Formats: sequence, structure tokens, C-alpha cells
Amino acid sequence: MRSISGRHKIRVICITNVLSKFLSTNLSKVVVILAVGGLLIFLNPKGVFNPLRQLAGGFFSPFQKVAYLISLKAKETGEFFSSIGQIKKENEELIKENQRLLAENAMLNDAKRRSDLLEKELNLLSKENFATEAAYVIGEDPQGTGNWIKIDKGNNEGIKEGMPVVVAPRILVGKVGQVQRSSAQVVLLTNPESVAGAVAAKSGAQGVVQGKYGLGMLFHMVSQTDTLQTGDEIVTSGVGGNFPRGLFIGNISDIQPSADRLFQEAGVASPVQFSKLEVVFVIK
Amino acid sequence: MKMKEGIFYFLVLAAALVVQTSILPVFFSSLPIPQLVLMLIIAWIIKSGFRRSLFWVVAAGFLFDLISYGSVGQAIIFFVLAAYAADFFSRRFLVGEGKWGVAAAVIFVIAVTIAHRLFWLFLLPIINGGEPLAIPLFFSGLAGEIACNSLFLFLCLFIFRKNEKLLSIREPLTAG
Repeated sequence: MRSISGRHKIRVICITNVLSKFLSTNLSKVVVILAVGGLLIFLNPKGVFNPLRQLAGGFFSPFQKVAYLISLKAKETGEFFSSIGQIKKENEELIKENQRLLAENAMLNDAKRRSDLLEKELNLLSKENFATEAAYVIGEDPQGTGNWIKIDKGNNEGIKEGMPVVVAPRILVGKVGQVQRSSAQVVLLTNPESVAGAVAAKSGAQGVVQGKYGLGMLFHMVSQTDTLQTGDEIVTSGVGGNFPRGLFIGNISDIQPSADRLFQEAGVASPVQFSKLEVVFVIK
Repeated sequence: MKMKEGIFYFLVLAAALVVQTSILPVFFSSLPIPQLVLMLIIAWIIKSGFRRSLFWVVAAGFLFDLISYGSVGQAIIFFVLAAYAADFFSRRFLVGEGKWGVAAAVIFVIAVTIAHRLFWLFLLPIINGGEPLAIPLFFSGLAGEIACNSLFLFLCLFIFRKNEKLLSIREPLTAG
């Protein structure tokens, strides 16, 4: 009996020794941290870290704002000096473009007057009535996928998750994601998780605009019977309720059938350079 | 001394996080954004070893997740794995020391940059139920990112070496 209990003790000591030896190694620490890290990931959807995110956001936001604005100005200055030769050529092109736009504007003013009358009669939401909150961009997706930007307005200014975000004049760039006290995340249209109901302004073809990892947008789920043309303007359709109708998204750049050939799809080029955003407007 | 070192490390980490989220994306507006925070961690490991730097590696991952709107835990996991690999590699090949050390450091940066892309642009989207990045885009700008990452690594190592001299207590001079 005594020898059995003695052997048992020796085994326990051996196991304890092996365990304590393993726990003192770097590998064991890595294993423990990986397990804890995995557990933390599962706690995220429950919002456990939201107060800490608020705290970190409050601490870093002022520094991020200054850093972002300085680097943006520095980049602009650098680009100005490196492209001084192109500016003259661009200026000539812009003068021509301006003349064309003046003519187009006169035509559109007339169309707008008639549209306003119709809108009034149909009791539609007037685009001029949007209450907006201007916000500075203070950060971007550090992975370079162009999935989101960070703005310096948050809960304190009445910003809520899901609000559309535009740049002047009413060009949609995304919608508000996570909101902190004095900052918020804006999920850009180029984010693959960002989906907006859209319509081709010319043909009325309905579809969905979705992001492609900061590489542009795709207008898809368009019926084969609808007509799409390169250069067509794509605006929000208001379908789905995420975005109000009539916000400009971009122009069709290329058209191809979908992989299953049931629908058409087209690349959409936004007039906005998402990496150069400085000020955006949140539609409340 | 420890307190001084802690404050210095926190300031360096905070500055790296601000640079990573608000400066680098402006200058590298397309896909390959260099990973300053990751290089800072590797420099920490090379300089101080795994055990002494582990706290700062975890802190960097935690803060990175908090301010980059990522799921808290994912950066911790990647940073700790990268730190362990850096420790394993630096103890065997003396990363950053001499001619061969520099070459070994660059090889390690290549490996860790590819691993970083695999983790963030390929593995995480699949885990989160999305689509991973297309293969040709996965390799776009890789050489530029590796060059910038290597530069950042040597810059961090240089700063730490300077800091070592700055924080070190001077021996009093004795006559004779």
C-alpha cells in the first residue's frame, strides 16, 4: 500500500515538474496569450470593449487630428511642387470644362425648377432639407484596404450609427459605423461590407453598389434587360432605407455580365478620392 | 530607471500608433501601408528579448485593436506570434548586428510582411465571413512595403540604442 502511494506521489511530482518547466518557457506564454486573445475576440460582439474604445478614442483623437491635417497639407504641398508643369495643361482643360458645365448648368437649372414643382406635388423629401454635421477626417484604415475613415464628431454631436456621410455637393462616401463620444468610424463605400441600393440615373436600372477593398465599387444585381452605358451616373435608390434617394455615388466605368450570367455588373468610379478626404458631412 | 523607461516606451508606442493610423495612410493611399507598429515590436524583441518586451507587445496589440476598430484580440494574437518568431530568429541569427545580421533582419522583415498580409488581407476576411483579397493584389507593392518596413525596423533599433545611452547611469569618474 505504502509503495503504491509513494509511486503516486512521485508521478504527481514529475507531472508538476514538467508542467512548471513548460509554463516557464516562452512557448507556454505564447500559448496562454493566444488562448486569451481568442477569448477576447469572442467577447467583441457583446460590446465589452466599448468603454475602453471610448477612452482610447478620447486620448488619441486630438493627436490623430493634428497628425492627419499636417500630413495631408504636407502631401498636398509635395504634390503641388512635383506637378507644377501639369497645372498649366490642366488649367486649360478646366477652362474648357467650365464652359461646358456653364452651359449644362443653365439647362439643369431649368430641369431643377420643373423637378422641384413635381417634387412638391409628389411630397417627396427635398434634398435641400438635409441637416448635416461637418466633420474633419482624423484617421484611416491602417491596413491600407481603404475600408474606413475616422472623423472628429461622435455621440456628443448627435452622430448615430448608420447615418449617411457625404462630401459637398451630396456625393455619398459611406455611412457611420462605430460611434464614440467625440469620434466615429465611417465605413466607406469601397468597403466590401458596405452595400447601398442604387439606380442608374439615365436608364433607371436598379441594382446594388458594393465596395471592393478600397479598389473601387461594383454596381451589380442589375437585370439583363436593363440598359447600362459607360459614363452613366449612379445614384442611391433609397431602397433598403440605409441612404436617402438621389445621393450621387459615381459613374459607370466598365460593364460586364455577372459570373453566373444572370445579371449585369459594372465598375463604378467615384469622383471622390477617398484617401484625400479632409472634411465630410454627416446627414442626420 | 524602470519608470523612465516605461514612460519612454509608452510615448514611443503612442506616437507609432498615431503615425500608423493618421500619417502613413495619407502618404501610402494605395494598398501597401508600411507597418510601423509591427516593426517597433520586432525592434523591442531584438533589443530586450521576448520576456522583457512581452508586456509592451500585448499592450501594442490591445491599443492597436482599440483605435483601429478591429476586434480586440486579433492584433494581440498576430503581434505575439511575430514577437515569438522574432525572438527565435534573433537569438539564432543575431538580427541587426553586423553585415550578416542586417541581411538576416531583412529576410525576417520579408517573412513577417508576407505573414502580415496573409493574416490581415487573406485569413481575417475569410474568418469574418467575407471574401479575401484577390491573389494578384496580394502581391502588389510588396517590395515597396518590405523596403519601408526594413527602414522602420532599423530606425526603431537606432532610436532604442540612442535611448539606451540616454537613460544609462554614468559611472562617476575616479582619479588614478
